[in-house]
Amino acid sequence: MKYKSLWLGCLALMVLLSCRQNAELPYLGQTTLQDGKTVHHKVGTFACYSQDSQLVDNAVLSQHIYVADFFFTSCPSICPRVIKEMMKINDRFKDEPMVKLVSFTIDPKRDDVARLKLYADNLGIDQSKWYFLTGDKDAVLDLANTFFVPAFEDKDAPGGFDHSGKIILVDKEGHVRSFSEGTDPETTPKLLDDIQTLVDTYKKATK
Amino acid sequence: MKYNFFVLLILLSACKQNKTASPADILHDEVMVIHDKVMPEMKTIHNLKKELEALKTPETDSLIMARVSELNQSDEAMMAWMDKFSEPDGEEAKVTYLQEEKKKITEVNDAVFRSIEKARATIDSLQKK
Repeated sequence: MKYKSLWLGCLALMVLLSCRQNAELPYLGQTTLQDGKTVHHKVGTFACYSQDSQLVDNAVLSQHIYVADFFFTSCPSICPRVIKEMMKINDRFKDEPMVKLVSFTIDPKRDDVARLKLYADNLGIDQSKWYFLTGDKDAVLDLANTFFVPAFEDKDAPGGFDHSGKIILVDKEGHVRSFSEGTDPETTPKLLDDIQTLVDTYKKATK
Repeated sequence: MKYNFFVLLILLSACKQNKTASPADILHDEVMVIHDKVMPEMKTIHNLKKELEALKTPETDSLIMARVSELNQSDEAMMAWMDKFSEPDGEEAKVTYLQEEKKKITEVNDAVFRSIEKARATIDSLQKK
């Protein structure tokens, strides 16, 4: 009896593991039915300037999957921790052109293009891969609400502008597919795996 | 012997405390606790501004603009405080600086919550009409 349940447990675990490897990522946010077709939640539209004065909008990113965070350069407590986790993602996928990183400032008054440029320079990252974007403050805050899907709301991270410091994974079509707590390094490995899964899914589809 | 052990223990724990949290560290944490309390309200401010804008009519226009402007001002005060916040080197300089900043962030905190309360009161009174 004891062994039987052990066996069953192992079997269940194996099934779970194999499922996980093959499974596609879920679509987060509200799914609606329009004209008999399933429509998944999408992030809002935006058009912002990058640290290189390049206009970056949804179309520019439509060939890429990207992780996004909302930050500002003068943030004293949470943002530096989130940036550290973003750096891990950057390092892991630096040779995978499909993956981009996007950091939206919520303090455009101070974070203009020049300041974002300085910030990006100091990080010493590949700036064609990681965009720091500035735009209209209210528009960016509205946009943030479309990235923060209801699935996030079970946890209350302290200290933030919904400062939750979430890092959100968005696919080529603008759907939210995964997220991590930028303030909790332990949630980063799962996000790294999810990014890889999404990359693989797209690569398989084009083969 | 027993007594010696006790003294040693007290000394040790005193040393340990000194090492882990200096007066500047404690002050820093106090300042950040206030910061962390205010920061989520930036989102509240944004949401309240939208609620207020939605209630705009020719008669309420000036009242609403006043509330929105107060929200904008307290939001700006918070962002400006964070921007300027930069601790100097040296324990003594830090303590002096942080004592001053604690006062400033407390004022910002009060302004933020005051503007939010006033905005909520205005929204409530307009919705009742």
